[in-house]
Amino acid sequence: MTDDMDRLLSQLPYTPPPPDLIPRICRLARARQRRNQRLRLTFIGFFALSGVWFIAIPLLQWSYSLSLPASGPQLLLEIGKIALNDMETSLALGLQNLTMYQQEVITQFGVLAFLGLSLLMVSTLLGLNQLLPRSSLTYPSSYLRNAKGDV
Amino acid sequence: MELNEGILIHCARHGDIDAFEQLVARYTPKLYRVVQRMAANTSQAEDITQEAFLRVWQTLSRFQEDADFFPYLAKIATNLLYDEWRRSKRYVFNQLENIDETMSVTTPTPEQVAENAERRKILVQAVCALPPAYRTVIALRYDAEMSYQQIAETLDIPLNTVRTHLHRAKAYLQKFLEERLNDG
Repeated sequence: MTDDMDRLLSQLPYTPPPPDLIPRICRLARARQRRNQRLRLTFIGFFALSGVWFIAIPLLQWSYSLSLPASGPQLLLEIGKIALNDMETSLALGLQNLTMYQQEVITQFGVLAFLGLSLLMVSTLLGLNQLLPRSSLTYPSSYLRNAKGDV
Repeated sequence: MELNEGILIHCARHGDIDAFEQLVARYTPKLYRVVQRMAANTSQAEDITQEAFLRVWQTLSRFQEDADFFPYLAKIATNLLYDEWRRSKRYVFNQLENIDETMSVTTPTPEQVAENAERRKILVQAVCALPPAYRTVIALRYDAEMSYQQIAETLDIPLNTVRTHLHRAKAYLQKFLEERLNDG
C-alpha cells in the first residue's frame, strides 16, 4: 500500500510555470545587477570625491608655500635651463628636489591629506575591480573534470 | 552546448548573468512544481519562485560550489513560504483549481490513467489540506525527488523528523483516500 501511495504521490498532476516566468526572473535579475552596479559606482565615487576633498585643502596650502614661478612660460624657461645644464648637475638637482619634495609632503601634508590619499587609492582599486573584465574561462580543474561528462 | 552545472554556478557566483539565466531556465520548472504544491495559489507560487531566484542571485557568493544547487534553491523558497505563512498568521489551503491533468509530467498508460485518475484527484485535495510541515516534506520528496538526507538539510531538521513527517503524512493521505473512495 505504501508503494502504491509512493507511486501515486510521485504522479500527482501539476501545472507548468507560466511561459513568461523565466524571462521575468531574468529581467528582474538583470535590473538588480544594474542597480547594484550603480550603487557600487556611487559608493566608489563618494570615496573618490572624499579623497579629493581631503587632499585639495592641504595641497592648496602647500602650493602657496612653494616659490613656484608665477606663469607657465617662466616655468618652461626654468625647465629649459635645467635641461641645458650638464646631466650630472641635473640629476643631482633632481634628486635633491625629490628629497625636498618628500620632506615637504611629510611635514606639510596633514592627517587629512593622507586620509584623502588613502580614500583615493581605495576608490581607484575598487573602481578598477569594477571596470576590468573578468575572465569566466578560468575554471577550477574540478569543474573542468566534471564538465567532460556533461558537455 | 549545455554547460555543466558546476561551471554555471561558478560563473554566476562571479557575476555572470548569462550563466545565472541558464540556471533559471534549468531549475524554474522543478522549483515551480515544488512551490506550487505548497503555495496557496498560482500567484503566490509565481511570486515565491521569482523571489527565490532573485535571493539566490544576491546571495550566490555565499553558496559553496561543491554543494548541490537545487536543495539550496528549495531551502530559500521554503523559507520564503514559511515567512508568508507566519505573516498571514494562518495557514491558507491550497486553491490550485486549474490543475490540468494533461499537463502532468509523468505520462502513464491509458489503463493507469483510468485506474488512478480519481485517486490522484482526491490525493491532490488531500495534499492541499495537509499541515505545512507535512506538505513541505511531501513536495520535496515527490515533486523535487530529494533524498531524506537532502530534505533534512534543506529544512534544518533531523533525519528522523523527516521520516516521521513523511510517515504521518502518508498515513493521513491513505486514510483520506480510503474514506473518500468508500464514500464514493
